[in-house]
Amino acid sequence: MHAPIAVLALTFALVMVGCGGAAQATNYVEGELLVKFRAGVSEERMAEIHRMLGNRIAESWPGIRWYRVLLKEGVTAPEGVQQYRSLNEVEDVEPNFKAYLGTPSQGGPTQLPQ
Amino acid sequence: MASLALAVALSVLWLGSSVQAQSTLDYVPGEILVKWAPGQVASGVAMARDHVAALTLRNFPQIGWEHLQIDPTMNVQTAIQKMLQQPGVLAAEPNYIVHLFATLPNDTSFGWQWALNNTGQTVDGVAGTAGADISMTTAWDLRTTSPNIVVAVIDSGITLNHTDLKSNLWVNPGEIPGNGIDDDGNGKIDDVNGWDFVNNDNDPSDDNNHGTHVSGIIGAKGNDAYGIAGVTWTVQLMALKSFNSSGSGTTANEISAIQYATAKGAHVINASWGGSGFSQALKDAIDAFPGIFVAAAGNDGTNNDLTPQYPACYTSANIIAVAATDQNDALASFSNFGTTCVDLAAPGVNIYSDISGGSFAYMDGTSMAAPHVSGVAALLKAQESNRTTVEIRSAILSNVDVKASLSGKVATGGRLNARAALAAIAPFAPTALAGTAAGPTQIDLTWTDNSPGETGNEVQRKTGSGDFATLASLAANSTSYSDTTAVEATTYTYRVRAINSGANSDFSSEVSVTTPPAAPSGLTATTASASGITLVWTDNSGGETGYEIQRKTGTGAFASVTTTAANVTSYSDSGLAVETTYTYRVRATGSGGNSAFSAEASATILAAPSGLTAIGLAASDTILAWTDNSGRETGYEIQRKTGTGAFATVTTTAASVTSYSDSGLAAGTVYTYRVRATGSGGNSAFSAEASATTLAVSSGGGGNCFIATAAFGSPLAVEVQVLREFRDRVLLPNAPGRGLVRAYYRHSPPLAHMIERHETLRAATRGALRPVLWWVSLALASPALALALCGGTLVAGPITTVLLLHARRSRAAHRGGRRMP
Repeated sequence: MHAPIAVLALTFALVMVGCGGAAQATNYVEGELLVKFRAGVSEERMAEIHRMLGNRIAESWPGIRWYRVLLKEGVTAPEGVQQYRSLNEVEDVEPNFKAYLGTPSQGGPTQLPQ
Repeated sequence: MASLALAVALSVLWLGSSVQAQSTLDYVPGEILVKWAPGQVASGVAMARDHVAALTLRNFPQIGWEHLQIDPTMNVQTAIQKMLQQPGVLAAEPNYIVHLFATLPNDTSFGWQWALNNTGQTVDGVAGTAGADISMTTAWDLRTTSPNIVVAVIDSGITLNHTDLKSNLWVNPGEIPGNGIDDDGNGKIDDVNGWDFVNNDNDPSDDNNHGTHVSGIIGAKGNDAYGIAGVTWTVQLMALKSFNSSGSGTTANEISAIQYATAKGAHVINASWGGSGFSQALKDAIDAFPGIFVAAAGNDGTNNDLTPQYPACYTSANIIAVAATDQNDALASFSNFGTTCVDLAAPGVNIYSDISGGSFAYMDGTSMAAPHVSGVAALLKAQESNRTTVEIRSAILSNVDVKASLSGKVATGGRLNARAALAAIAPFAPTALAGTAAGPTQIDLTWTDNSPGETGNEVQRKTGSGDFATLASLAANSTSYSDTTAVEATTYTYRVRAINSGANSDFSSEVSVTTPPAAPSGLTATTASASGITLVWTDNSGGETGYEIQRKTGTGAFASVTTTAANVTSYSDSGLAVETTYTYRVRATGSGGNSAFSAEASATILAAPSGLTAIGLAASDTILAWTDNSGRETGYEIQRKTGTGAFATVTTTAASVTSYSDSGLAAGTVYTYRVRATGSGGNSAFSAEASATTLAVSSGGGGNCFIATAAFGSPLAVEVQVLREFRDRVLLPNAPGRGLVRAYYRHSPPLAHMIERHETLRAATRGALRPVLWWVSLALASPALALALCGGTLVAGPITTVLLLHARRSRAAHRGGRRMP
């Protein structure tokens, strides 16, 4: 379970480095994260964590235990990832990536940002 | 222009073609095919043919089959069953109608859909290669629609009012359109055809064209003489808009759409999008979706194994990742590939489909390849809805057309083949086959139908170690069959399988049933002796193991008396009581059970008459009397013989008769008699024999009442008849009376002769007989009163006096050496 997190973190770190922090070049939705808590973490604890970080839940998918979180104003997605990753209760955290339809003739990008 | 010409040509062709229904088992009425046993003689063949009034249409001697035309009034199944019962017939089956393999829809732009039917036509300025398609027209021979299958299109939305699509849109069964209420309680108001996750509203209309184009490939209404034909002609397209007008979306919106499709029971998700970022959240959502998830490989022309694209490269078991091929089965230049990450290829260049505004356009991309697979997955799911996602995925990936151009490019090395995939989806085999013999010629079968998608069921039967032959072709969902062509006392083995247009299921386990023997008939029960009854019946079975005889008396219950060996048709029951009615029934026994019972038959052993007495009355007459010991006889049979001759029946009487006057006999002859009671179930034993000797000469008195006849001058005189009646009714039935009669007839003739010749004696005798006649008449009318009045004295006195006088005279004459005058 930690391997995907590590891969994701590395990817995200590379994204951050590659993008040089330029907001207009990001391929994720700024100000949002997708967070998954470990099984057994209570709703109260999850809410407490979000509140502690100054964030709030925008959307949840209980069947797969993922949440879309709106970050406190001024906190970037990379910073948010770091905050949540430092918590033992968090199983996984990732940006809310942008995705694109894939038809070459349409001209849209088909890859997530590098 | 070339394309247009082709389209016109195809349209003309389609006008003359019909869309073949894939769910029927058509055969030529009035015709069957029969396989004869090797060496079958011509006479046997002719006899068998006669059972169905068959004429030979064709012979196939190399394989032993014959094509027959049957009686036009007989249906094919009946004819097959009749033929299967004939010796020498190994198999019989309908003359099935074989359809031409190619179902062509009449959609006006179908000619441009080279992906479905590549004839080498030029499309969008590019010439193709015939056969470089997904074999859709032959797949449609098997199935054209999937009306109960929901395909979620997670894309830029769908043009909801497109003529080619609007009838195939999914409609949320839990939502009432336009009422402003979240009827299904999923947090989304009036989500009728899907949801717009970009704008979070209930209008998933397409503002990009991509989703509409993809949807048309999957399920544009087919064979409606408009636009294009989808891979599946009828389907439910769920519009889940997760991408905006510029084709951009977010992982969160994709997850929301997948979760929505999961919650609403979609069977297939088409994901014509992707990227390089690994999202565990997205993978979790895909893993949680129970259906097939079809993902485009990507359009960078790169190796996904080296540069993963997601969701194509997720390891989820339900993902099918699709690369794109062109009109010549080459991997499209833009298509991503990868023998690990990409499963197969499908057409994705110059794909003509629906777009917004009710129009049509060509598009390229793995986005166009993926929906071809999604459409096929929908057809496979419809073919056998109980097949799992893993089985459907396997059927698709295991039945590709392997292409050199795709070797080392995709995992299967091949391009989608809809026909082969569909043909690989077999229905589930029936289970729990059970059979019971419902009678000597009927076996009832039942089984469990495990397949919702079968088009029919086939029942096969064999006898002994013979080969299975098709006995019946039944409709879909059938779970029972009655074989009424069985033969008694025969073991049959059955098996059943489900069939559909593409493939048949495995056979069920076999079940063997033995029919019981045919019931015996014609049972008769006849009294055979003073204590025995003989039963006889007809053996109607060729395979019984024996017979069981049951017996009862009165209203009692039947109980088994004995069992016999096979082929026995009679039984003698002994040690029975007289005057008891015995009722019998018989049944054949067999390894497959017993037959029904025969009709019942009854017999009663009558008590034989006793005390038979025979008296010679005159030169030509004797008289018999006996005791009736039976209350059930229908009459008596009197037999007679002379000397050592054989007994012969003299007469039969009514019931309860106990005397008989035998006449017309020879004078001075010893006659021996015997009597037996007769009945409907047989006769009693004979009585003991009794003999009588007719008189040597005529008494002259006539009527056997010699003295009275002499006195009154005629045997027809009323007085004589009264006395004769008294003799028969009163005296003869009892022993003392018979002794009296016997003594009278022994001694009265000479006296009668004397009286006859003297008028004085006649007058005196008449006078003496008057009181006797009075008393006799009284006795005949009322015996009790006669006895009370006279105590018998008035009768016995005169007669006894006369008899004693005569006896004395006779002895004197004898001593004196002369007879009395």
